[in-house]
Amino acid sequence: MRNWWDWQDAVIKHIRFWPDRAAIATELEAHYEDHVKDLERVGYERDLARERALLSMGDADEVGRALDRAHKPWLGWFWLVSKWSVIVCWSMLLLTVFSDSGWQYYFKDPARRVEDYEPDGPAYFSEGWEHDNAVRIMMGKGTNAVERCGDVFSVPYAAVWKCHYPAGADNGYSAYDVYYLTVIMAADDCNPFDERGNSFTQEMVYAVDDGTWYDTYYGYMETDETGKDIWGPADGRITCYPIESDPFRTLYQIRCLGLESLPEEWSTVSYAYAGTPWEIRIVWEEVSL
Amino acid sequence: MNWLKLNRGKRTILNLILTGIFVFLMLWRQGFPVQSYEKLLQRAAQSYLIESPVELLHADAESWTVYGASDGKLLRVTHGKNLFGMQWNDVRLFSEEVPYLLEFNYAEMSENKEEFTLCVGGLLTGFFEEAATAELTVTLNFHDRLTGVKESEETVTLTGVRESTACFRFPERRDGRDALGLLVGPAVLRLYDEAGGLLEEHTYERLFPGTNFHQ
Repeated sequence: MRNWWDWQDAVIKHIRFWPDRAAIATELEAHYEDHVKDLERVGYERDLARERALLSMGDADEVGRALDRAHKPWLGWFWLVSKWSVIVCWSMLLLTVFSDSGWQYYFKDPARRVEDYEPDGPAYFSEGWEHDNAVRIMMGKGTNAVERCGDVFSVPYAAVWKCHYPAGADNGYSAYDVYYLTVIMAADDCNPFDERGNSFTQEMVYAVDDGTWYDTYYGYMETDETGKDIWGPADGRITCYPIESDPFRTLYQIRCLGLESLPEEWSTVSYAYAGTPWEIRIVWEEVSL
Repeated sequence: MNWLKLNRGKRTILNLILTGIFVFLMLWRQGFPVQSYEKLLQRAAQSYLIESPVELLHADAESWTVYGASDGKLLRVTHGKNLFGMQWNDVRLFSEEVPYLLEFNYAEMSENKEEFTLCVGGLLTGFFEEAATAELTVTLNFHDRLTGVKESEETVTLTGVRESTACFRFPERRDGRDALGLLVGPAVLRLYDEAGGLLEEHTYERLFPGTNFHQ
């Protein structure tokens, strides 16, 4: 072997996994140069040190075959592919996660699991006169749970708030009371990895034990013989929409901003528009003031 | 675990585990896209708490739409598709009073930006137990594009081709006119039985591009 480079080339040509060749060549050269410096330190001339160091590296073909056995091509390619897979998938994940700020919704406002969902006042009025003056007069809870599409629906909380509006000094209005309803319906997710839509909330019905019922529709039904338009079907109105959500629970708020009557003992939240009809019965208790 | 002390084999295993975790998180973030129309329909129908919808038709070529049915009601699902599969975008469940949906479309085609061809066609999906043929008579009203004044009116009759038990396709009819200033309507849909007897006739005051339905 005439010189180091010839020896190195003879070793490298045995290594079938070519991506490692550059790194192996660098390491071999570093090892060779270290040996040359060590020999020069103990008094060898430069050329003699190089010759002795090269001899001590061994037979180029044997070294090359040994290095090839240590750097198996199949493992090398497998490792390289896995390395780039991690980089690509990590980049795609970052793009997926940060391209839509909605992902934070899952963890920013996790759905509560408490006894009282309105400790400070009616949820719809976060501030203002109604918030300060409404009094909770009834509280209720669902007596049953319903399983549909992998979720378990229940009513952990319901409340009726009374708001007394005093007589108007300027406009001549007499005093009157308005009753606000809040029902918190929980959907506990048996499968946290799915994401269900909420179209069913447009078809919920709330019914009271005196026969009055309310649904989300407050639309034109027909015109009676006197020419008066009839809206309804129950001439009452509720809204139902999700308020808090995490992968394991979604809370829906059903509210009515003007109950016609109060429940004596029970009321129901039901859904019969599609699938198998279901209802959750809510039992009420008066709240001592 | 010191990364530098791991050999190549262990590092490869670790890379594969990390890749699996990242792919799972990506799929989770996208709501685990599905591979089949049946799964897509099931997933979308859960928005109405329906557990077992029946697939009627998927119309990817036209509108990326899947039609289904549940307890006599029509379900219409629009969806998107990406590398990982299909995700539903919008779902609507129609009441029992809507027996079918007419997807009407008209488009202006041009090869040289000087001569235009108006293409009119549609897809009728729904419950057609006894209907053997369908016919759609459409009135095309052409208006001056500057003044809006009606210039002409043309009546076009499209004959539906039965593609499945739940679908009639009205093949595109091409005409050498452009679509500017075009208003479509009224239109009459007629369904006939095998003997040619009229089963049902319905008039649409206006036809809009996209889904049209009557109750």
